[in-house]
Amino acid sequence: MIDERLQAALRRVLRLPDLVVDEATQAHDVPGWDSLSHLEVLLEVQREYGVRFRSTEVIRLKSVGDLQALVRAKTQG
Amino acid sequence: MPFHSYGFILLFLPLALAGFHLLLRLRAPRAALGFVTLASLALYATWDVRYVALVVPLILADLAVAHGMRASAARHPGIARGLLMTGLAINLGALAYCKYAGFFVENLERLTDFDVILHTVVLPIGISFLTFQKIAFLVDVYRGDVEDLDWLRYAGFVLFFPKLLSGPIAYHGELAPQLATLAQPAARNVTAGITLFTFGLAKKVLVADWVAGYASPLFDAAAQGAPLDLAASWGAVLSYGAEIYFDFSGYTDMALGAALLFGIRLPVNFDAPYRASDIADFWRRWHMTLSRFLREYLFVPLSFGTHWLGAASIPFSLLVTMLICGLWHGPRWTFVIWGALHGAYLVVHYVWNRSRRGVRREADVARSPFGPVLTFVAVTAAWAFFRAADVPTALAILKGMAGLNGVAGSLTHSDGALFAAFGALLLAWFGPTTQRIVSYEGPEQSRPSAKARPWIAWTPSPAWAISVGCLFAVCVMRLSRVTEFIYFRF
Repeated sequence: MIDERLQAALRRVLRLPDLVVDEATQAHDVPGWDSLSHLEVLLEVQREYGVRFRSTEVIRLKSVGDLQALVRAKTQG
Repeated sequence: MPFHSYGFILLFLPLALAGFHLLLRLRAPRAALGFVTLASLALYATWDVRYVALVVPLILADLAVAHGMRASAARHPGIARGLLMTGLAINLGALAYCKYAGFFVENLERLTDFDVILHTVVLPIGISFLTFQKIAFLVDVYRGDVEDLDWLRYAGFVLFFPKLLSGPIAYHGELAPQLATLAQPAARNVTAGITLFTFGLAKKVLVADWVAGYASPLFDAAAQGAPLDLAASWGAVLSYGAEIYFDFSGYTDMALGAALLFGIRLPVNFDAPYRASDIADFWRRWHMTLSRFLREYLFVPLSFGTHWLGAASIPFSLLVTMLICGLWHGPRWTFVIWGALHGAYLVVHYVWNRSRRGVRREADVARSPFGPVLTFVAVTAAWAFFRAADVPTALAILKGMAGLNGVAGSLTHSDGALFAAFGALLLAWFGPTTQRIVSYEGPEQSRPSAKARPWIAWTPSPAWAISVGCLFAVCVMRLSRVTEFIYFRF
């Protein structure tokens, strides 16, 4: 399951109030989620969860599930 | 000696290939790699022996730093970070000294009354390209992404002659695995390599140099103060836009083709950039390995590093990245302005896209011809700065493009320039790219998405062999009149 907080952050940045994503969702599945809005997503998730990503960590992200896992690893560790 | 010279085509390349294949046949792949690396150094020395004296110590320094980072990464991360900074400082320092010291001093003198005496500095060809490849390697080692620190494979990666002088800007992770498993390339790859090399030679010799014959006199006239009318100024920038595309993508095709003869796949550098639907798309198709490096090693870290700027961090990082991209091409204000223009284009594109998020996209302008046309015109206008001798000349040409110097005047070159530019640009807009004709694919990391085969597709057949052979012969006969590759100056 994708956190409601993460869902809400994605909806805010991408301005898609009805957006529903799951673990397998990838950026190209979502209209307007291009490479620059992707950066905005990451910066917004940083703010939302109070974590800091390294650019190496985020280059390897392939799906929303990966992003969720990264956030969980950061908030628990 | 450049790719399009008798010395390279008739002497260097055959000798390098013969030695390489002989050593592979003797089952000595490491000796074959050593041979190609030494041959690359020899080729570099034909320009200037001092280049070798500069590049070899830098390679040794990189290796020392890389081994030091690996040894200290786990227990002393502070030392590893310090070593990374040292490695970056050495490489950027060498680049800054060779390329930008004169520019810095000149502008310092203009601002102050100082009179600084600076000895002429040697500027090794390709150092801008080498520096970025070495930086990516050092950063990757620091991040723990590099397994293979073999010294010969690193030297071979840096010096491999097909990409030594003007890229593509390959990553160590793309080349080292290929250098570790050198083998006789399949016959199909060799013939594809010869075909790609010939196409690149034809782009340079037959197209780029032909349109340059129209672009250069017009830019020269503008530099001497002649007002270019509407037709002449558009003729100048359009034919230059055609020239630089066919020049640099021609060089790249020759690099990729030459590498294939050794069984090595270099990353793709061009994907029909003048067909781009928007400016971000242009930078995904133009000098792709430069924009990839700038995106991954400058823009993304910069965006994260400036997250405290909030919504401004992405536009700020776009602008800074493109300013550095401009300056990378050379120490001139015209390049800085060219970079600033592209940065501004990208910011406008970003803000526009941002404002349209969540809007239904069916009627998006990006899908109409408006997007590609606007992108092409914006890119073309920026070429005025890229090519002009100085900023006033570029502004004069832009004035002419706006129609402020009249529609058609006295300059006789302008009709020919427009005709030549459109002839070449038709190929760039509607023709299949040479890589797709030969179904070329780079190393996996940079592979473009699978696309349908074009209407004209190369196969290893007698008909293609004869056609490519004739094209090659025509190009070789014209070699005595050709000019230098534009990107050798960067």
